[in-house]
Amino acid sequence: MNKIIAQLDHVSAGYNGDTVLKDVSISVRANDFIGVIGPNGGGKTTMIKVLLGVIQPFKGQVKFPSGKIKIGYLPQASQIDKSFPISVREVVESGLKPKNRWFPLLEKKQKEKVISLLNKTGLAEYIDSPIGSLSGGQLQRTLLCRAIINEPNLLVLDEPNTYVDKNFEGELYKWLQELNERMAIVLVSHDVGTISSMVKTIACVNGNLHHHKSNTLTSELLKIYNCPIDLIAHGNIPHRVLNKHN
Amino acid sequence: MKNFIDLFEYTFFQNALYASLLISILSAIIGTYIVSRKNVFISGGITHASFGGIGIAYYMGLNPFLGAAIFAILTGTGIEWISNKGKMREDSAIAILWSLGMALGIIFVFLTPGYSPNLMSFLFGSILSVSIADVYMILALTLVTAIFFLLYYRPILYSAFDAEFSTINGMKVAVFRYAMAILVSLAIVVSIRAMGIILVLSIFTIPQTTAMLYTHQFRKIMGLSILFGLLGSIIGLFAAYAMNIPSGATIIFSLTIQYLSLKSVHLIRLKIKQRA
Repeated sequence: MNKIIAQLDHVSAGYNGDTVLKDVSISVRANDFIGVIGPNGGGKTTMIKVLLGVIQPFKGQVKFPSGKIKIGYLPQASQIDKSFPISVREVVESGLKPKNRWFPLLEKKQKEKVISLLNKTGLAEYIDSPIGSLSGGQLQRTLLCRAIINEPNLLVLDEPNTYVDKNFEGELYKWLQELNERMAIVLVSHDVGTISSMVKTIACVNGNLHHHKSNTLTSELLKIYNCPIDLIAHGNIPHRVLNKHN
Repeated sequence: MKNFIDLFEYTFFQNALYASLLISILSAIIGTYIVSRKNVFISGGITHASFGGIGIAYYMGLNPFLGAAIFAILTGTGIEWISNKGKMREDSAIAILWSLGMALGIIFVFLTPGYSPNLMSFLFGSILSVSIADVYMILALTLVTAIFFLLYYRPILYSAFDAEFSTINGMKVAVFRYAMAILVSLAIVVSIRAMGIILVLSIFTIPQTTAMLYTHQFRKIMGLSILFGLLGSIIGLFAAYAMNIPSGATIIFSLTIQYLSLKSVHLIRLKIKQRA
């Protein structure tokens, strides 16, 4: 069950000829839960966009050693146009794949799956509401439903904890732990403190990438990794981040 | 009153009515896509750029609407391409194409020997001069658009809402975006006949804005826009005939009055609700 399902192999990538990621390699295994941290502009989002196939790398390759996989994606909330006239149901349905691409109608079974997932996640009463009427947490929940409705092998989340309240954050992490039992997760976050407690391994991205095979980090290690993240900024959480071994 | 009933016996008025009816349906569907994607400015660019095609076609003695269609499609798909590639600021590109089209139109119209009597009708529209051939053309485009939306409602909606996610999910987003750019361009061109270059955008936006007072569901916005578009167009059409004013202007005026009245009712109801 622990085979490699996706791999960046010596990838360099960026925008308009500017290289943001330099010679990055990382393997994602079937039961991984990787937290991706790094400073703004360090290439976190670029890395996952290469992984998702949205950006073509200048050099290197994206490989799927165990065959084609299904990938679920949760974009940054700021990328979503909340004023777009689309309902919660329609958003979640957009994560499904119709059987026939020439007549892309959904089957009854697929529609029922959407309803049952929305029921399970407490969104049932908003099913036909426009996304513009949702709170930050409700919108994230909707987008996460969209990402997982097709039962992906790999779930990629870009800053899922922005614009949500603390209540939902706790709920989200519990949900992710549960999902991790059946899919690999790659989670990008600027908030080192919160993610380190739940991820299994940490990848520091700042131009280069260092995949640290545990979920505890020290300031010294971050220095070696050339990953200028301010651990102290996170109140009492860094103590756990820094010194879980004690 | 009898005067108005007699009107229906004239072929030109029947054609105008058919055209209004069809344009209301077509612009309701296409306009909902434009407004939802916040592409109103792009549509303005397409509209004005098409004048270049009209001018060149005039100069060469061709059908001006063929020229307009070619220019509109090139502009529509060109802007879609620019916004995908991200190599240039999209709004600047639109402004350049917008004014370049108008400039070309003016140059070629002035180079054409003799007076161009229909120029005013291109700028301000003249639904009362719509021929039965025009009506068939609008009918054909309305049918194609309606069928395309019936079959591909989901991919059209998803690619408009979140192109990146849809691409990751394996959808051919570019196909739908370009197909829609072409349909938007053609819908604008056939509506220019009735509404005029300067005024056409309103029929693609005012009914939708009115509909959004009542619903935020894509499907329902389309449906309500047909209703509001139809009502506004027909009232405008009668006013145009009665007062001998270009139809585009009266249709916009009636659409706007309709929006403002319903918006006021909406606000008053909101106030009453808040007090209760």
